[in-house]
Amino acid sequence: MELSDDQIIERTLAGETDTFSLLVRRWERPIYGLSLRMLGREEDARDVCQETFIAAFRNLRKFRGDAKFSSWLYRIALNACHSRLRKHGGVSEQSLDQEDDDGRKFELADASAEAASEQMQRDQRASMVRKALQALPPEMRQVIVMKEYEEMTFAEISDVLQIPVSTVKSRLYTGLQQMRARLESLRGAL
Amino acid sequence: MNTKPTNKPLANCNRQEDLVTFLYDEMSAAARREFETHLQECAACAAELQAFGRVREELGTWQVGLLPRTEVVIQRRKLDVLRELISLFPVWMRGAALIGAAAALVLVALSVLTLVKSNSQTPSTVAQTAAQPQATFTRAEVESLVKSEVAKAQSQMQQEFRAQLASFETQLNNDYQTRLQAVTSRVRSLETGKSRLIARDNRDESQIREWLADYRDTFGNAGNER
Repeated sequence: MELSDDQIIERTLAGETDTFSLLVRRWERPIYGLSLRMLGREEDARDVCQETFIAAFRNLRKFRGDAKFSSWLYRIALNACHSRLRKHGGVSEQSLDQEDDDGRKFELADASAEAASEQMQRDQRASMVRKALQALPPEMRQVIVMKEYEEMTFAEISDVLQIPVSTVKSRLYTGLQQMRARLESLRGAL
Repeated sequence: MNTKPTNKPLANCNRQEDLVTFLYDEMSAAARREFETHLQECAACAAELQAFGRVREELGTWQVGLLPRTEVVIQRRKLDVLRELISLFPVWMRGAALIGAAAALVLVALSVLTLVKSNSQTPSTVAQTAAQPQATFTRAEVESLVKSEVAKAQSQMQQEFRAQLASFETQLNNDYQTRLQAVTSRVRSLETGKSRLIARDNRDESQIREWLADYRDTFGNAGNER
């Protein structure tokens, strides 16, 4: 039977520190995804992912069982993302050239010209989304990322960010409006 | 939730929260039905909902590729290592160290108190002592004296700690060597026992073979005669 997060935490705190790796394997993908979409760079996302789990391990005793472990973990990851964004002046260092490099990697993977063309279009759209998302203020970006990619409920997002559900909804609304405007302007610039 | 249907543009409609709740399918069935009616009457909300749907489609194009394996190397902090080491000492030793530290603290406090007292002598006492060699201290001197005392105490504690650590290490090594010797001698004795048993088995086997040969010689021939 699969151990619950709380059971793993209990065992880790009891001295079975290796058990913590189960939590890492369980949550590394969502945390990496969140960090990547918040920061836009794979190296940064990888670093934040590591920092998050190390911080979680070190502070495991401070974790209150009344909250969900995932909410606590997301909060640590978001704090790490915000401090990294502050260091870089709130703007991700992702350049268009880097995005093109990524695109070329995908292009090489496909054999047929048609598939390559479709892949290129998808990459171009993804690149636009990435740019538009990175240009959003972090407090809106994080709500969109959690709702759209992590598929969290409004209540869960409110729990992670410790803000009212109504604020989550209004940030999401404004964020989507801004995304819409930015995507339109990026499409117009092509 | 605002349940009043309206045909006004979205800016005045004030149903932004309902719109996102509907968009992400988190409405109750009744609220959903009500908002669907509203959408039929409010062109601005309907247009915005469509536009947001397209934004969501676009967002879906950015998928995370292969996930790099997260390597979490937990480096133990010096404090944790020290804490663990201290926990290895017997309780009486930890208690003695605690009492020693407390005594040192009291000693330092008493010295400071004495110095402060000598600084705040009455004028008559000062007059009496004026003729004697200067025995008062400035604040800086007191601080430096306290610092040097604390440093001395710290260095002494460190030396004691190092000595304890060295003795603990020696004890561990000795313990390890003793156990290793015991295990080695036990393995040797078992091997000797095993060799003896094999030799005895071989002897028994050859005796049985000889006995069988004798039996065949004696009774086998008799059986043939019958």
